[in-house]
Amino acid sequence: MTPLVAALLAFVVAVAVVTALARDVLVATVAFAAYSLGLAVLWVVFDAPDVALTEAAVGAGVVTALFVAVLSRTTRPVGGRSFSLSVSPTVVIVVGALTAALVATVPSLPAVGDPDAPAFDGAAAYYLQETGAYGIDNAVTAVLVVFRGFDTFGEIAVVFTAVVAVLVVRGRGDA
Amino acid sequence: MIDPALLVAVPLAGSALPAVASRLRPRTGWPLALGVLLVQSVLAVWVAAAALAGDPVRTQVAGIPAPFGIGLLVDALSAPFVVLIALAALAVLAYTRRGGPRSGAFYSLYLLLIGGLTGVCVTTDVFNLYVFLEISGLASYGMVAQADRGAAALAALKYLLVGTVGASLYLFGVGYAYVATGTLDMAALRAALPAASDPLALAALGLMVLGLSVKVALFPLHTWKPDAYEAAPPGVAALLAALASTVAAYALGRLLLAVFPGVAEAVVDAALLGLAAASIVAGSLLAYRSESVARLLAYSSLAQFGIVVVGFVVATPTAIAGSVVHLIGHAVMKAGSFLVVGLLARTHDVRTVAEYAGLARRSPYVSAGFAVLALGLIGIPPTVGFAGKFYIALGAIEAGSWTAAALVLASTLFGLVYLGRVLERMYVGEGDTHAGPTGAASPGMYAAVAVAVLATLALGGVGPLVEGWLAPVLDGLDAGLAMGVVP
Amino acid sequence: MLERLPYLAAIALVGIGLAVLVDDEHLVKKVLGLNVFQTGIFLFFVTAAAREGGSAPNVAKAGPYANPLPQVLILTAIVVGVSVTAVALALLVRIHAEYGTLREDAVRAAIEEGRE
Repeated sequence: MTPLVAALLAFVVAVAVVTALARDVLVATVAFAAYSLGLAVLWVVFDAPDVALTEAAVGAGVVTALFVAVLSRTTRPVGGRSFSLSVSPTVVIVVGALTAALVATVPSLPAVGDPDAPAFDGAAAYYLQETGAYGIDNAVTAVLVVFRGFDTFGEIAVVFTAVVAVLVVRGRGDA
Repeated sequence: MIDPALLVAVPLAGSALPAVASRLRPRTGWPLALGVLLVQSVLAVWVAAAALAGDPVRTQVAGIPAPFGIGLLVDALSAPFVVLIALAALAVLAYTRRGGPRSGAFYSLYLLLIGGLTGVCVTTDVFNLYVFLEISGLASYGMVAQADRGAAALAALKYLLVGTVGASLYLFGVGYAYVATGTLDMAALRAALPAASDPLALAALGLMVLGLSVKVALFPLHTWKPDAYEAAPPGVAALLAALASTVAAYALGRLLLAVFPGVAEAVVDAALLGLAAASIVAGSLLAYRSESVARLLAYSSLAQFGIVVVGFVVATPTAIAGSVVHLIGHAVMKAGSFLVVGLLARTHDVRTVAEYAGLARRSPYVSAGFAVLALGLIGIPPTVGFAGKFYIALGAIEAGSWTAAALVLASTLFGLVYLGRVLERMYVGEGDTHAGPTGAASPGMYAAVAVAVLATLALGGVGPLVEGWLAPVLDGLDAGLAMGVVP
Repeated sequence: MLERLPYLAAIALVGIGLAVLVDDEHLVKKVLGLNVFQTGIFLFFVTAAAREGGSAPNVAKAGPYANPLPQVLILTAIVVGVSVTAVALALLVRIHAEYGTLREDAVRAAIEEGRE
């Protein structure tokens, strides 16, 4: 665990907390953009440049733009305190229980970067080995296009569904 | 043999047609959706017939071998659902021609929903299942929001938020399963999970079951359901009531039977039985207290899916057959009931239990149809509703699980109370108190209701057949080689 | 525990996101919470893909490589997440046009009023 990773994790969790507590939704949105950028850097450090690019373009870019567009068409709450600290007890109990249960699994997870972890055998080893046979150097591209192309087909359908759903929601589906 | 991938590709690719064509020529959405769904139904019946008559139909997409590529499978467990999706989509389409909605974009969502749900049923890859869960989810959020009223937008948003949390919890479970084993293929997971570290396998199971329970809407994860079904246009409510939670429950059953046996069974069974019991009791109570008939039907689903989960927990061949029969039967009966609700709202402007008073005199045929559907939902012979519950109870008694048997019996008594209340109003209630403006209904609307009523009666004897179909699949699962990996 | 810090951070993000989603009355905050919740799960996957001394999974270069599979899954999941967010925000615009507010309690009050 390098200090860089630790610092990035601390940053990401900190801006997530700011996003959570900010009462002004514009402040929360700006914090969320910083959060996405922090994640994108983290993906680079974790050797996932393709995910980083997508996160920066889509997460920090498109999503933030969508939120700002919505805020510009609607209203922001004004006045009052900047941050809200009140959380209902039920939420604390339910979310706390889920979080505690998940934390209890952490010691059983393989250490980060452990080359003997089960995830590095099986499908991943096969993909890395076979990628060359398809003339593709980037294994991520090969998995996306060839080995799990059916997921990618589904992903395109998801995007199309969202486009049509937005048209329907905005009442432009009539024709 | 037909490639099962076509069952997914036809509706998904075909979904582009209504949205595009209706921009060029108005009102082409419905006939195009009809064309695509007819093709889909022929394919579904064909593949299912082959799978039920002989060996399961399977394929590895793009020829990538299992367990590395994505596998698709139509066996006796998934075949009934593939056919249900295709035929229910056709029947509800007959209703929406006049009942609406009518926009081209709406029919694109309709086909995307069908493609996504079919994908969930045929895939044997746990991440691929997530992708299809999200396609069908997004399509249903948009379809609920199709209703004009502002309340529909809020109901759709709530459905979206809760549904996405459910799908994401499922995805988190997939993450744990992958980290523990290095594979996403169901058969390979089944082989590897029991040997994996216990907390990781348990977390995978817990998160996947929790996520799908949200989609099924078991108590107390149900809050999206009544709002969404009440706010949606009647055709949409009927389609979602028939298919959305049904397919999630199928996925839950498939995971419990084909992926997770051997992982902390005692703990999981106890937890699921508790969830099922809570759903049966709370769902019945909430249904009893509902004024709106649409909400009553939505709450009734909580109880009905609780019974299905009981069958999967008992997990004897008889009980599993019972759960499959009850899922199919409930889909038919509940969709039919929502169509009646839509029909009556249109012809008599009635929506609440009180307003249904004396309807049997004013609208005898539709009322009789509703009575058959309601008796089926309660579980009275000779309906399919009885067949499913009977097999689940029989399986529970065989397995010596008296709690499970008692739950099935209790659900029937509860159903008698909360649905009996509606029937009592319709048949012996006084009144023509409500005489609002009335509209006409189309032959297609009546036909869709008639199909549901006839199927409720005709499927009553389907139990032994389903049990026979499932036997080789369940034997194969027990031998650990039914799916994916070639023996 | 320290060498598993990214997993703890992922779980923290899941918890924070879920709490905002459930508890905040402002609908925009709910959608932001949903995004934090989902990205927490993404962090879990990408962490699982990391490999000591590894590099990005480009086989033209020398290994060892990070695991390409979880990275691909998250590429797909990011696109799914954006799609869901776009539909959610379209619903927010419509709710605001109808009721003039994005606070859930106020919207519910307006709906109740409309019923009576």
